[in-house]
Amino acid sequence: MKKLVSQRQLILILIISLVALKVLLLPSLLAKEIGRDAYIYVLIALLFDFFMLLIFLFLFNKNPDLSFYQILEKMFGCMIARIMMFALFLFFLMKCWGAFVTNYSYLNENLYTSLKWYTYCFPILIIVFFIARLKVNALARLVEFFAPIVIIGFLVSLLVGIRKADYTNLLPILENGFFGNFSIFFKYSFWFGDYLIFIVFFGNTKVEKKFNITISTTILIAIVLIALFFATIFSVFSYNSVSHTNSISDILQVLPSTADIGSFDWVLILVWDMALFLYFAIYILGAFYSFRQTFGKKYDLITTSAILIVVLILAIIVNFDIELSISLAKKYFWIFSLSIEYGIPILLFLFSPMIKRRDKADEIFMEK
Amino acid sequence: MKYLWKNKTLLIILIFAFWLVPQAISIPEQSRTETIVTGVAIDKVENDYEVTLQYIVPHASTSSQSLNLSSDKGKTIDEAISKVNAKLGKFSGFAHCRVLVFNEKACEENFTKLLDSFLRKKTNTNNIILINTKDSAKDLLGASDNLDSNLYSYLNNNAHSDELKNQGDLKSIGDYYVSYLGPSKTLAVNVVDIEKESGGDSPSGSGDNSGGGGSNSSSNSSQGDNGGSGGSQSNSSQSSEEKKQIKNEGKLLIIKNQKKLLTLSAEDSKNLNLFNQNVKKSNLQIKDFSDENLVNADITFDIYDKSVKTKVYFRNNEPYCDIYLKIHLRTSEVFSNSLDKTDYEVLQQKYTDKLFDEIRREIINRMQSAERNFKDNNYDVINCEEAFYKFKNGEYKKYLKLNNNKEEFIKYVHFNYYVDIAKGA
Repeated sequence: MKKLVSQRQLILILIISLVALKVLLLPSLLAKEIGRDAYIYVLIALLFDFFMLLIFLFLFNKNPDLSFYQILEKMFGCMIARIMMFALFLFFLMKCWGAFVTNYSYLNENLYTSLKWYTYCFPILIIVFFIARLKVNALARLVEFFAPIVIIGFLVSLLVGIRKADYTNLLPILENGFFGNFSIFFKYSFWFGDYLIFIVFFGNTKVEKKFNITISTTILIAIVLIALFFATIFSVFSYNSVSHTNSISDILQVLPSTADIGSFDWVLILVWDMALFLYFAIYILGAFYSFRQTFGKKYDLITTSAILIVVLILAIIVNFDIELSISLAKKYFWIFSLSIEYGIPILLFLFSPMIKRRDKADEIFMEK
Repeated sequence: MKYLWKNKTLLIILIFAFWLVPQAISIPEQSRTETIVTGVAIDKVENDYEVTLQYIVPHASTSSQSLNLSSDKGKTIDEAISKVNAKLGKFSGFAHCRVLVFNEKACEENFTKLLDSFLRKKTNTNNIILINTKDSAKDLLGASDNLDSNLYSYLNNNAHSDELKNQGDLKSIGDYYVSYLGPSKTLAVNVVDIEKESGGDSPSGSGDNSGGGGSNSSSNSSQGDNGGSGGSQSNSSQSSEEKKQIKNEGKLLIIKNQKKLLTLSAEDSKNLNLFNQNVKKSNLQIKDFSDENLVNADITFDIYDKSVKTKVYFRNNEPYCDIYLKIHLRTSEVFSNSLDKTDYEVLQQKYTDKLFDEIRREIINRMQSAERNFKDNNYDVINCEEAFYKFKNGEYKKYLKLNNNKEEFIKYVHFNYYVDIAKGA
């Protein structure tokens, strides 16, 4: 398979998918339900994601020339592989829906007094349609170009927050026990599992020097920074974290003594809108990829259009209401998200010796 | 047409251009439909709220734009704002609003009522500074119109500039909600008043320096001694009949459980600010002091930096709070019956142990006076209870279970003070 994506591009795609959606509404939602200890649960969930990513890296290293679908096919056969790809397609579709509605709500709240849904939808869907139709390296180059700006925006916001934060606001730690909040936190599984986008890049990523160590170290640093961001949000806003539904730019606005810096939140809003757009495009690509593997490559044009129309219909069904979308995701999709996020990598890890056995059997068959 | 049909991307872009461009043409420019609100005043007048908006109408100009005022009444804040909008024929944008002034009557009832509408606005209004005034918030906002900058910059300079950092800590709407949701439910808000003086021929203020070249056509500020007991910063309007001067003595309004509890005098506020890590500056007077160098001297010290550390603990099931205060001070003035060159040199070079003890005693006296005040009136603006909650959570909860005095926790805390003095140049 032709190697289209570089190691750097892969890392940036993983970072964008890790950060983009988590630093807007999620801190406020978790502050409301879990309180100041939310960062601990976020850290744990992200570390779980990290271990799942390590499993994917392990599989990727073992089969550097195979696509994810080919690995699944070798392990479980064609039928189960297709079912798994379809489940992944649904997972990515959910993520697209989440990103699409969040982006609308974000723009409506921060840049426009009232943004008409069609003014928002059609331009963005058409652009994403073309991105999804391009080869994977086109999106990778797009992300490579814009991701540094997004990362700088995130770091500026974090640094301003750290300067203002009173970390004693995180005390007492785990006042209501450790396990009590887990059942609540599981409902937010929808926001995690972003490492799964890695499946798109199986077989077409160039393996460069120190590939594993570079990816794992960078992602680990990103995870720690995201958890630190959550801790900083509560330290800065304290009991009032709940009302800050746009954490990434609110953190700049809250400082009366640095009101001039606060004005830069407009820049950050624009940067973050770009991050959401990239996130949406990445997951449309993921959905497109997994759908194509499930049903074949015959009807690419129709498939891409259909995916975007489904996303649009889902958004219209919930009336572009972010709160309704969240309550639906929490109510109906959390078990599905959890099983996809952790079930698939664990299954793959357990069945990974099967590939060798099948390869050997193929070799014996060929010799005969 | 054939070319367009072949190039579908271009075709789609053109379709969208044909659809969106006419829409954009029909939309009026935002500067004609919106005002930029820089400050809000809320007065409770009988059963209504009178809301005054200080705003600028954005337009292309090289000179500074003037501030305007418009007000109206309503049963709720939002209703009053809507009426002002209707009056102006423009929508009020609060993204640049920096200060909210309210009069004393407005905070006698549910204070959260005043702020709720701001917290729910799309634009972030959490960092709007809260200022209390005794009589008319509208008048204060009007008087601030004549300042060199605006009320927010004026207050911000007083609170945060290195030279003036003695006017208390500015508190915002966000701070109010944090304190309201926290254990103490108490917030200290700065009080700024206005003085009305009838007559006066001079168009400028009565202070030492009258500056020029401000953004407004009116006179500029005069800054006298700020802080300290009775010190005031003032600014006067140009009116020859009645001058309105801003009077900022550093007084604090204590809001507890969503209501005004009391207004502290300038002296009490200054004492209370000794507990506040964010208030770095103050001054201190030692009266009638004698030692080997001075006889019956009145000495004024300038506290130019300060750090406060708090340690809380329980002993014999009683809550204790140790306050460690480190102050950096320098002598600013000496009045002595026998003042001569020697006194000046002595004070610049060496503080005697007796003088150190005297300063320490004076500071502890002031802190104890503040302690008496907050214990007598049962308010915890120093967040002592929150410190127990954070650092001694188990014992704190046990204590509350055993002693049913959560509402009056501060009254039962034993305070110890440790003052460390560092002499500056």
